[in-house]
Amino acid sequence: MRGHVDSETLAAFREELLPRRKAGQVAAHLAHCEQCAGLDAQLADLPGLLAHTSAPPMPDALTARIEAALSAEAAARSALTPAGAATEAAGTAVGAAGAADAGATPTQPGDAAAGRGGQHGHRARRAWPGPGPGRSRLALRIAAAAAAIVVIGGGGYGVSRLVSGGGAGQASTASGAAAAAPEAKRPSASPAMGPAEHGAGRSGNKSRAASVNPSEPAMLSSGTNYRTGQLKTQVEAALASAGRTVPAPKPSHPVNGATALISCLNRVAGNQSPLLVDTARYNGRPATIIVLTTASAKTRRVVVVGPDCSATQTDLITTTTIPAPR
Amino acid sequence: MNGDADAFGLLFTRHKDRLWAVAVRTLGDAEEAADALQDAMISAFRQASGFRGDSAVTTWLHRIVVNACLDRLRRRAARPAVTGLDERVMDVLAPVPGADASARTETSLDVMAALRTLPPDQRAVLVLVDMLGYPVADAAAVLGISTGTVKSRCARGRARLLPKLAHLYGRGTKAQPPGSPPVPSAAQGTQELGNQAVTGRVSPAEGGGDPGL
Repeated sequence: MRGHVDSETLAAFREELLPRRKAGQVAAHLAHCEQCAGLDAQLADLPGLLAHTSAPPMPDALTARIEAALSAEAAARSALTPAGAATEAAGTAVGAAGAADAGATPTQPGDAAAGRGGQHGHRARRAWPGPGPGRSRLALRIAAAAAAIVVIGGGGYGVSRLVSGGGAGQASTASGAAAAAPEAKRPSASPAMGPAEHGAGRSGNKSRAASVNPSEPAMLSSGTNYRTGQLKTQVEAALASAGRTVPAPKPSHPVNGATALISCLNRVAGNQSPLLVDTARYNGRPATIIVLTTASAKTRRVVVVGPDCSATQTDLITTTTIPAPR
Repeated sequence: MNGDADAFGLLFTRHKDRLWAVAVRTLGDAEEAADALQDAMISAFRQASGFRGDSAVTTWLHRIVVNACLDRLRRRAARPAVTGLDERVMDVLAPVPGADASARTETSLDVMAALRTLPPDQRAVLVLVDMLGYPVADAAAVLGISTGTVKSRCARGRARLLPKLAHLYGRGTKAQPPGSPPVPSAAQGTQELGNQAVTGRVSPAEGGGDPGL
């Protein structure tokens, strides 16, 4: 055999992929060629090098996010079943999610997220399981995820009312959402939430409470054209006005319908609480502006997504951090 | 199980770490891996009516995750100009614990960077077989290709990777000390020949057992 062996041939040789005659030539060459033997040794070590490559562990937030997305999926699916099945599906923590969704989805009968998978035949299937006595950590996590869905499901309810143009004002949809989520379903109140923000039911300050209580995101369909340079100011204005004003419901361009918006919110929010969801525009394009709490009580995260945001894609336009209002 | 949420939740819990390991290595980007894994799990849940509680489920889940990753890689190849957003959104969507600054991390970054230059098909087999220690037959089942194809993709991928990683030899591996020419003794080389077949490693995630496909 003349000349050296190239690395691809060597690699194939090591995998016993070469024809016998060629393999014999390579073996003979390796026996006396230091250069190729060196290359061969490097190839031999390569899988070990790859095996020792570390990668970040799966983030807990991702686990929570996916579990939330799965339970949203399950809830959306169960919401497509008739009322009887929905009632049956209403377990402990899941109940409110199912109920809220049952209210939301019939206005979107063709919704793709819930319709895929051809599951309509299984009417009596349970939704995401409630925390039974014998269940472990998983059940607790799922329960927590389901609780998060309640919040967002409530928001979704509000959205669907807006979308359907039923004439319901912002305040009433917000309270409707709150009513759909019983008190017990609010353990997910964000740790970042200050005690002052807790009193959603306080008389005399009702509007403010509605806008800042993270368990009840303010749902707007303001149509505001948010702009790159003014995003912070505009979001602050929207947050401030969310509780006060009762914008006329404008079915402008929701994110592919209410169920998609719920899934989108779950995807984007992860384990943070949405404070404000405004179906509006961004630099002239249809967009949904989502304001989230962050791990720090001092900041808010603004995520701007396009109309294609769903459980499976973010359709992210931009994101930024703004200081939390004092 | 008809996509039963309870059963699927357990399945996810049981496999999520391994599936994540596959996704994050295949994509080389935590944020994209997070999106791919989520897409894959939703998609799996939707088509879960057919799965049964046997070993095929694991293969099936892996296949969905790998395919979600490959789709992303191909899309990325078609539209290379959309990086950057991922990093900015990372802290919202998938916070990654701060990487330690050890040499191993540095090596890992180099390996991941080199891996990103490979065609998706080669990358996928190297992730499964070399990085995560799946038997060739399991990788073939996951990818829906023959074991011969797995081996030849491995071979081509390794050959392509080698020049990009030559500088790492001597750093964190048992190869040559730094600076020395990469040429072992002839005896070593020959011995290596008789021992060429499979590494016999197993996935670290499995703590020494069969990766469990």
